[in-house]
Amino acid sequence: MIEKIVFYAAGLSAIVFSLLAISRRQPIFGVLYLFLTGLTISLLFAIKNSFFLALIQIIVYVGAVLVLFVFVIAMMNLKISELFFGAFRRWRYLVVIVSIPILLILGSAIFSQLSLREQKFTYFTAKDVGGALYKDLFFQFEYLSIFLIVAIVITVFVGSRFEKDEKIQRR
Amino acid sequence: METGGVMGGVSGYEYAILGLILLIIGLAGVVLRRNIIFLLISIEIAINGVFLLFFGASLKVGYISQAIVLVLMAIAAAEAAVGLALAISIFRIAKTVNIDELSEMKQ
Repeated sequence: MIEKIVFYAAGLSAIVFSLLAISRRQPIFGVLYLFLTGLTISLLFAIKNSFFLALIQIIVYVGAVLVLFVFVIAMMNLKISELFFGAFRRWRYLVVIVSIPILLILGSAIFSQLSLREQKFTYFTAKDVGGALYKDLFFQFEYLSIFLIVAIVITVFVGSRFEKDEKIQRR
Repeated sequence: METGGVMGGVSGYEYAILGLILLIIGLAGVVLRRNIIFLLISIEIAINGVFLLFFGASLKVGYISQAIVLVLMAIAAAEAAVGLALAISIFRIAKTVNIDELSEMKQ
């Protein structure tokens, strides 16, 4: 019973925080609400006893990725007058009308699988992670290492491409 | 209808529906917002919804689905790094964060 109460409270706050995150005008407030969304999702992992996943969510996702956002916003150093973008287009709210059928279609795909049996689920320890990553998900794990190297190369290349021109302009 | 596994807890379907709602909110944010930082924030929200979808599936098919969540977290981190590097690069060229002004490829 307490699990359901915590689940609905955390799920409702995740929806509210994510709606707030995409509707702010200043980017730093959007990132702060994204922090709160990540923390509530980590709580949702924790109430099903998978504490390892909850810790990884906090350490890697909320801790590392979102700090990157904060650094980039600090680098851009936008003034508040630069955040007002011209005329407001009312037709964009048609997206809300379109998104509800998409939600229903995807939801019906989930509810067509209702006959699957619930597993008795206890813990998700670091030992299970190692076993799953090296036995069942071996290809995905090795692919991920190449993927991360490619991402690092792209980031360094894109980030340092225009330094030469900027130095010339400064002189 | 099957409700929950052990002792009337939360079932995987509730996680999946919550994940779908977050996914739709993120996709709507990608279409609605014109600020490039908010585009990346919306993509992060959508990826968080996908985490919840896979986590809900793990209550049905076992802990392998939770290991997939770990793989997805690494992919999301790489995506955020590349996306923010592109955002900085675009900001250096165009001096704006409005993606409606980035229409050089039209001409």
